[in-house]
Amino acid sequence: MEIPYTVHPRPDTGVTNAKVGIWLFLASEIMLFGGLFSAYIFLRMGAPEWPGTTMSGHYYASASDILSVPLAALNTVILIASSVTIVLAWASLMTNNFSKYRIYMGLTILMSFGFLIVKSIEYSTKFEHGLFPSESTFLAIYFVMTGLHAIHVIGGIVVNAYLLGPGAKMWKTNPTQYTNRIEVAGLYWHFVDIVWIFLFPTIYLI
Amino acid sequence: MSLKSFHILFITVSVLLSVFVAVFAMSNMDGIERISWMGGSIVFGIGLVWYGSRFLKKMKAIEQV
Repeated sequence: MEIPYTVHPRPDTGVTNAKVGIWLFLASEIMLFGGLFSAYIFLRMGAPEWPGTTMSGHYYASASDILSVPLAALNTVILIASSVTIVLAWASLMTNNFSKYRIYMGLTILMSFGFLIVKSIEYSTKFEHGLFPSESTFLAIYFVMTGLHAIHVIGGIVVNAYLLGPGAKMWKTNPTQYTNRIEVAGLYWHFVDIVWIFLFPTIYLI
Repeated sequence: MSLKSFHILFITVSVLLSVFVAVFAMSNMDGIERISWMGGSIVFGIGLVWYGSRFLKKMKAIEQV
C-alpha cells in the first residue's frame, strides 16, 4: 500500500504528512529544550554566585573563565554556515541540479563533523582540568544542555548521511518526494542550529 | 512553515545574535579583544543580511520557474 500525501499536500492540513510529522516532533523538542532553559534560569536565579566555586575549591567569576568563548563562537559560525548549505542543497534539487545538491549536502555533513570535533576539543580540555559535571551546578547544566544538543547534531548527521547515501536512490524514482524529504531534514537541522544560537549567549556569554 | 520561511527566521535570529555579541563585546571587553569581537560580529551580521536578501531573490526566481 502506498503512503498517502508524501508528494502532494493533504487537503485539510495544506501540507504533506512528513511536514506535519516533523513539526509535531519539533514541538516536542521545543518543550524538551524549553524545560532545560527554564531549569537553567531557575538554577542561576537560586545560586548565590555564578558559575561560582567548584567542588575542588576553584572560584570562577564568569562563564568565560571556565568555557572557551572563541571555540563556541567558531561552532556558531560553523552551524550557521551548515544551515546555509542545507538550504542551498534543497534549492539545488528544486532546480533539478543533483550534482550541486551532493556538494552542498556533503559540505553540511562535513561542517557537522567540524562542530563535533570542536565540541570534543572543548570537552576534553574541561576533563583535563578536572572540570566534570559533578564539580558544580554550572558545569552540570552546561554538560547536559550542550551534550543533548550534540546528540541532536549526531542524529542530524545520521539522517543527512542516509539521504546523501543510500536514500538518494529515490531521486531517480520519485524526485518530488525526495526533495520533500530534504526539506524536512533541513527543518530539523535548522531547529538544531537555532537551539545552539540560544545556547551560545545563554551559557557562554551572559 | 516551509524551509524557506524557517531559513529567513533563522537568518534573522542569527543577525540578532551578531548584534548581541557586538553589544556584549562593547560593554564587557577591552582593547584589541573588544575591537576584534565587535568588528567580527558586525561584519558577520552584515554578511548575513546580504546573504538573506540574495537568498530571497534566488527563491523568488526558483518559484517562478
